[in-house]
Amino acid sequence: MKTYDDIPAELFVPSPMDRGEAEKTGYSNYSYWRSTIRIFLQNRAALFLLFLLGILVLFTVVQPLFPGQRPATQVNFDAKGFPLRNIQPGKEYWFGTNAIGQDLWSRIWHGTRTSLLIGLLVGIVEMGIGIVYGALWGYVRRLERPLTEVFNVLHNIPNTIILILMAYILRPGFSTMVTAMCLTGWHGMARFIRNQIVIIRDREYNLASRCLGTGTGRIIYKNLLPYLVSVVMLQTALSIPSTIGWEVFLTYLGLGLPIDVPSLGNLVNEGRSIMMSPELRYQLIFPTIVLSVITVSFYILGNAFADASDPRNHL
Amino acid sequence: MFIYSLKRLAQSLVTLVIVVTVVFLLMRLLPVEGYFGERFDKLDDSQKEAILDKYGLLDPWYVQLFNFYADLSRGDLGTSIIYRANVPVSKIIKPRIPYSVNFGISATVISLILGLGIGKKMATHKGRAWDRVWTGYIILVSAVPSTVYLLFVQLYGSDLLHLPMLFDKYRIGSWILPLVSLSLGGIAFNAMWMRRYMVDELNRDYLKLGQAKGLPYKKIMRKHVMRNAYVPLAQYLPATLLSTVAGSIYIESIYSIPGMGGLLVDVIGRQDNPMVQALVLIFSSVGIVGLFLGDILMALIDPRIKLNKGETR
Amino acid sequence: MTPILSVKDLEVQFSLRGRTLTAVRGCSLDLPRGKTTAIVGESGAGKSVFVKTLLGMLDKNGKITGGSIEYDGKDLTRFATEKEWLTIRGKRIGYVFQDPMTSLSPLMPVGKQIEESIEEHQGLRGAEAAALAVEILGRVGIPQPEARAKQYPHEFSGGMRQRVVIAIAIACRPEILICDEPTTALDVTIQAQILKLIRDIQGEFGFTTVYITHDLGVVANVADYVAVMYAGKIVEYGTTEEIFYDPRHAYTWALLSSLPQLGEKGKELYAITGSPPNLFKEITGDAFAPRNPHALKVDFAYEPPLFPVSETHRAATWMLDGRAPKIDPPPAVGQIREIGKTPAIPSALTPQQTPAGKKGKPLLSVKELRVEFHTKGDKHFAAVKDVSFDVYPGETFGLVGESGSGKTTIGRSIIRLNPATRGEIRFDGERIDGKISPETDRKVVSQLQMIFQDPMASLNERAKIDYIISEGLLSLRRNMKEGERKEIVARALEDVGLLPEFASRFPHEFSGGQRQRIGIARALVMEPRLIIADEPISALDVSIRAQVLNLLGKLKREKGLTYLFIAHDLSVMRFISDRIGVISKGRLVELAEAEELFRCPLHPYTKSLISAIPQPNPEVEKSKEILVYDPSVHGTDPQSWVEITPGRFVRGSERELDRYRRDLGL
Repeated sequence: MKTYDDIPAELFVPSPMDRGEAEKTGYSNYSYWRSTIRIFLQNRAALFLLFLLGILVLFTVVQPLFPGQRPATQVNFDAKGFPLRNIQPGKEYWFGTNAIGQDLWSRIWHGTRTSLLIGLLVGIVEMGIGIVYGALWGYVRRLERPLTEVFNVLHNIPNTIILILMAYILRPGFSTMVTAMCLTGWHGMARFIRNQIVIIRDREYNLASRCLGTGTGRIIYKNLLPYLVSVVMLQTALSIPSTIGWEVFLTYLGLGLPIDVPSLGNLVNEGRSIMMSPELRYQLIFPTIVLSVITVSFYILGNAFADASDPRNHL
Repeated sequence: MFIYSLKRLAQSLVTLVIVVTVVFLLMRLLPVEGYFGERFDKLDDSQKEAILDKYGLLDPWYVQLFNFYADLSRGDLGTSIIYRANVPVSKIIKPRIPYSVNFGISATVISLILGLGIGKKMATHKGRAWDRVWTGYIILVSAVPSTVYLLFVQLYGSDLLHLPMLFDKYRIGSWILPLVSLSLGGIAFNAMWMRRYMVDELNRDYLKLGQAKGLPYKKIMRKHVMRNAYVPLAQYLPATLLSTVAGSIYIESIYSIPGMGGLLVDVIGRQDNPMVQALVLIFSSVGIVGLFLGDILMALIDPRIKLNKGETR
Repeated sequence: MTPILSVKDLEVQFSLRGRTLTAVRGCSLDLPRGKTTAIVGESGAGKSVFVKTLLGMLDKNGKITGGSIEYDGKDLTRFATEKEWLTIRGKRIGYVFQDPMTSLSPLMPVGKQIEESIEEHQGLRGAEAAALAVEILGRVGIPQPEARAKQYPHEFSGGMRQRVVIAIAIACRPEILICDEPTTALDVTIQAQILKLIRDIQGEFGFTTVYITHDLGVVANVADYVAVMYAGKIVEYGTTEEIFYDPRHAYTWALLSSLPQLGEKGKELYAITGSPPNLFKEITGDAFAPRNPHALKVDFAYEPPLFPVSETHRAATWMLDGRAPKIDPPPAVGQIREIGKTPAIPSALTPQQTPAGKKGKPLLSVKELRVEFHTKGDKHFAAVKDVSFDVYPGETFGLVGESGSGKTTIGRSIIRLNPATRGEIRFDGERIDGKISPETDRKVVSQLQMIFQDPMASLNERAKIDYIISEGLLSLRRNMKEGERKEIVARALEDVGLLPEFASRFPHEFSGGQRQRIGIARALVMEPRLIIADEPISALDVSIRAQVLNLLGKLKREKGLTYLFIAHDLSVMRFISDRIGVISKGRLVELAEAEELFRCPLHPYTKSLISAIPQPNPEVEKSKEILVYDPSVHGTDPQSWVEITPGRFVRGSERELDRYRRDLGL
């Protein structure tokens, strides 16, 4: 056995106890938001996409202010007065022109602006309806039954059908599109919020708040919603790509925005109609690339944030 | 179990009635042009009135609703006006069903086999190359709208692989691209959920017990983990099956497959109100029936559901 | 005697997001053949990780970084393939898990789950394997094993499921049986039965058993040898008698002295300050030193080796070094031998201080309370039936019962979280059930408060301590000034022994014991008269429990609080309560002064409950008789709730009541 004779004998005296030290033994300096941000920042791909998306969105907003930009709906003519139809991408027209001679570069950014606007609008409305519906559904027990029934009826009908029906009945247009999508999109959010609330509503800290006389409104606002930030962010982030997808679909059915309004849906649809001629495919490919970058970025960012904000990943 | 099924059935029926009624009433809000087609401009008001009267469109809405249900109970879905004038909707739809069903079943089978297999391997190889590559695929398919990527499948499938671009029932080769298109989403969906459920199951205590029992890992996977992971997936199976069977609206349309989905696009374009109404009803009932069958299937597979329905725990 | 399995200097590390946690820091342990070794320690001590290495079942991010495990001439730490492990797992070493509710595979009949193991290791197939599975199910005490074998896990109760898990573990007659907290999730009466079952089959099959637990009562019941683990190290090892009657390590002293069985009513329990260390950090010296009032300077600088005390007894403490001053164990340690022998625990209270001396008007009065819950399918389930009791000012009234007995529902119904279906609840003479006026509501909210069971779940993680503590004031006193509020929060924190600057922190920065004290502070700012404490210490580590019990005692003395104390642990109840009500299946069956109840329990349920308490005294525990309660002894005669002597109530039929009266010598 190893000997311990080299340990100085003067250490063998009682040591006064430090209460503060004893309390500190189990102390941790964990912080929820700090950990969330730290883990999110560790995700290089997500960081890159966040950067990319930021620039893209910024660019769609400021693009018309740059010098030498042509309006998206302007038909361009050559010196002799003929429209510049189907010009290949080049120095003058970076992304080329379309079948009636409009500048594809301007149309794409204008279209992105329109589609992002729809996406954001729908995302925010869905978030609002979803939170209110989901919170009442999950927390107020008296409303549980009726709200479940309403949800079941709506949820049982395929979204495609609701969208088609709405767009068919209300006649195409920007507000029809937004209304129809808001009508279908919120249930996903509402259900997620409700499920989350059902999980946490009977945790003891909520019972404690009730014992302390805290009202339902403040319990939802202070005790429940802060736990739902990640779910809400994820759902809102995912609703943007799906909104853009629905827009393309409705446009294909002829139920989308009027053709003279540039939007990603209209651009993809225009591109589709001429995709059989290989030399004109750029008209499909350019809008598709921008659309894919946006949808994939939102999708990955939403998931990366949801992962980062899950406390189980915070160890 | 029996009582549970009955209750669930009643619930589905109620939903169905509500949906049918609402759809029917909404369709009444439409302008009446859809009932005349190209004749609209040529007719004078009294002739129009006579035609509307013939269709019963001038009756009060509750009478129309009653008549509609009466017709429905005889299997009468209405009559096409524009698409094929004066032909009963059911007659138009009938020959189209086999196409949708064939495509639907084959695509479901393909996406189940491939999707589950891929998802399973993703879960067991979590974080490795296989998982990463397929995660990329899932992200792409889920994030990029199918309306967009399917165009490229059609475009480059026909361009590079020299497959027919449009469906032709006499050419076997023309089945390939629509089938691939129909399966891509399903594969991603099944793989994603299979991976998620498997990962959930892999963290459960009973897995540790199986290990402590001395069962080989593969056997635990096959006999316990997979079995438990299939349960939540089973719930969605009937719904996906039925909705693909009813026909994919978009894919049938871009490949000109004469199925029910493609038909809906046609009749929307031509504003044939009774046809739109009939097809919308069919598609929504299929959704409702699918969810109903899913719940019943769950109850059959999972012994816990029968008893625990009545308990709080 | 050669050990059957021998672990030397085992070290296990986990990597968690780039950080390394050393869960086991150099443990050596020999398992004597045919004997039971208990490993006792708090959560996070590394005891579970330690035994999982014996089966090669560490989680993927964990690995053995040093030492050896010798078994049957092989070093298990060198096993690399699954195939090698399969020669051991289930076949030669069986494992019983903690939580029977989750450890069985939900979609397979239990018989099949046993068969799997038999088919894997014994080469039996089909009907033969099935027959053996049924036989084993019968052996572990499952009635009608043939029919039950075809049922699914969800059709079994917790205790029955644990029997199935045991059946799986012993199906192939392993040499070693590892039981990882096998009774922690179960009720005391079920616990006693399961412990007896394991002891019986051990005797029959001659297993070597390893028991992991945090409960010293369980240790005293089952163990021949005990290893005490703290912060990833075995700090003391010896025979059960040596550990209980002659402990040498300061941590073992502290664990034993803080037992409520050694407490004196009205006085403070011995309490360990602080909480167990964070194993992400490098530990120098003795890990327990910062919490050890007897620590030497050397404890902070050098890690103590295991000093031999006797042939079988070793302790890792510098106190055993020749140069160390002689330090006597705390006096309570010497009284372990008396636990469970004396009829009454000592009391520092004078007769005037006992509740009998100061009755009068009850503060809380519950009459014929019935609480029903709706379950799906419009059925009603009565969780509480015809419960009546009074709580007098200044007393601690204990409500004891097993899980599902309705005790928590009673508490929640008084504080109006669950509405009463029938009956009445009066607080300070006023009805507080059903609809009440806003003034009464305000009064009840402030004067009636609750302390919750799980400190991890009872604080809002997204709010600062400052908000959490003053939450009640925000709705009670809306126009309060900011400065005044801050002052109240600071005072409340000091009252519960925390620093005022903690107010600006979030709950997750605190340990379980600290969080429980924050929960108490939150109730205190309302200046309540009655506090309902619902299992306030059962989720806490053993070394933390005494801190919280002492705090509750101090507040009662200083602020004149009244407690309704709800718990399942009778030994804690006996220490803290003045009067105790025993509740079973939603009904009170007996109510008496605490010592009276223990001296002479009347109702057979009370008797079985008291007999099942694990006593942390091996002499008593090893020879105790368990009384099993069979509700059918009551027959079909109508039962009533009767005050049998002044202040003492019991439930029974006329015939039973006569017998109880005779028992009391009336």
